[in-house]
Amino acid sequence: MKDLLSEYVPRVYRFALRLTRDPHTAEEIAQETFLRAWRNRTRLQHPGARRVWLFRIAANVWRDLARRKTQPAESVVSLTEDPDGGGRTPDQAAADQEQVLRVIKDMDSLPPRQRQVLYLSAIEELDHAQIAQVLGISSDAVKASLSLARKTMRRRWGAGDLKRREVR
Amino acid sequence: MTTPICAHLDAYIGGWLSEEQRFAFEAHLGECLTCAAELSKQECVDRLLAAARTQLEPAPPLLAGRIERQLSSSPPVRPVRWLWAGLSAAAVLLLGLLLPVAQRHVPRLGPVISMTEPPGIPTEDRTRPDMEDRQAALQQLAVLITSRSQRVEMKAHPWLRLATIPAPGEPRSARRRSAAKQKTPEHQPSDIEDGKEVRITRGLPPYNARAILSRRTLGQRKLSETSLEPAETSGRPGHKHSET
Repeated sequence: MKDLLSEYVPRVYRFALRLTRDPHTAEEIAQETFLRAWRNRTRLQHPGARRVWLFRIAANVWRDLARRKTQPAESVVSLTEDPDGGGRTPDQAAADQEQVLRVIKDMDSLPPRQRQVLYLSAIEELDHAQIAQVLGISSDAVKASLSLARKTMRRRWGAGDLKRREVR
Repeated sequence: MTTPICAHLDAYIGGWLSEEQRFAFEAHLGECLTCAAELSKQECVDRLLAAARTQLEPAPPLLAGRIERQLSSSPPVRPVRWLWAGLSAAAVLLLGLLLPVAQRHVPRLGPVISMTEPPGIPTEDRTRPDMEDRQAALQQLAVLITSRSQRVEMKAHPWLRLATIPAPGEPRSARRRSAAKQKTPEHQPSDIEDGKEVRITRGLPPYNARAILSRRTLGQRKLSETSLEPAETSGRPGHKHSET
């Protein structure tokens, strides 16, 4: 159980952060998610689907919480440093770090549905059917939200950013 | 300049195009600089997002431990055994269906008799032989009525409650009972109805109750034999019941 928790608690917590944008509520959602998962663990028939299952529970917990209280609009902070420099010079690493932080901030500032869909697609690498399952929406709705999110991200990353990026 | 096929850019990025559509769009990419630029931007964003996977905020350090403690203290929930749940439900259903039938065909058993000494009797009277006899007679009555599957509730404190339930074969509902009463008035006591409360006073000793109850039972003769008539002390000397 310890291994599973160490693998999935950060994932569920981060997904909960994308749902709520509030670290305290995200903790609350993560705890409740694992409690519900533990109680209903016999319902999970395919261990391979564990991640999608946990995310789905987290989304349900988030919806339950949202019904009870209004969500505070607090921005997600405290990103970690890149653990390895990737063989880059300190200047390059710092510049890349800045780009990564910026793209995360851009993602977090998207409208809620687009943010959740883009997070599950780009960070958790779920396909649109899995995302639909997690969020309880149709595949077409996932595709539409994902297209909008990508378009917005491209618009925010203008030509100047790209040129700088390509020079590196 | 955008063309209708440019609208397929996001579907191409998402991998949602058919093979034919994909080939067509890739051919279009070679001609459309706008789409090629957009695709290039998207690839850049995707790379950054992929790099962000390792740099997203970590979970609070104590969260996993807290969840682990919570789970270990949480009692395990046993999975529902559908077979047992189904069998139990079927058993309850069967019982619910059969119980009314059984009640109709099985003779009513077991009286509810609670006999206490009437409080209206003064302490000095309780030592009198006739009072003791009355109590004994009441108890005997109770035994006899019990043996005839009559249900009697007698609460002598402070009221004597006579509640008889019709024996098997007698009409049960109040309406049918009253109809039966009209037809056969000779079988019903004239002075008391089912469930009527009779206050125990010194002038209405237990033998009155016996008289009423004896009409309701089949063993009238036996009752009269076992009852004791407190002829001298009740102020009703020589009182005999019609049933005897």
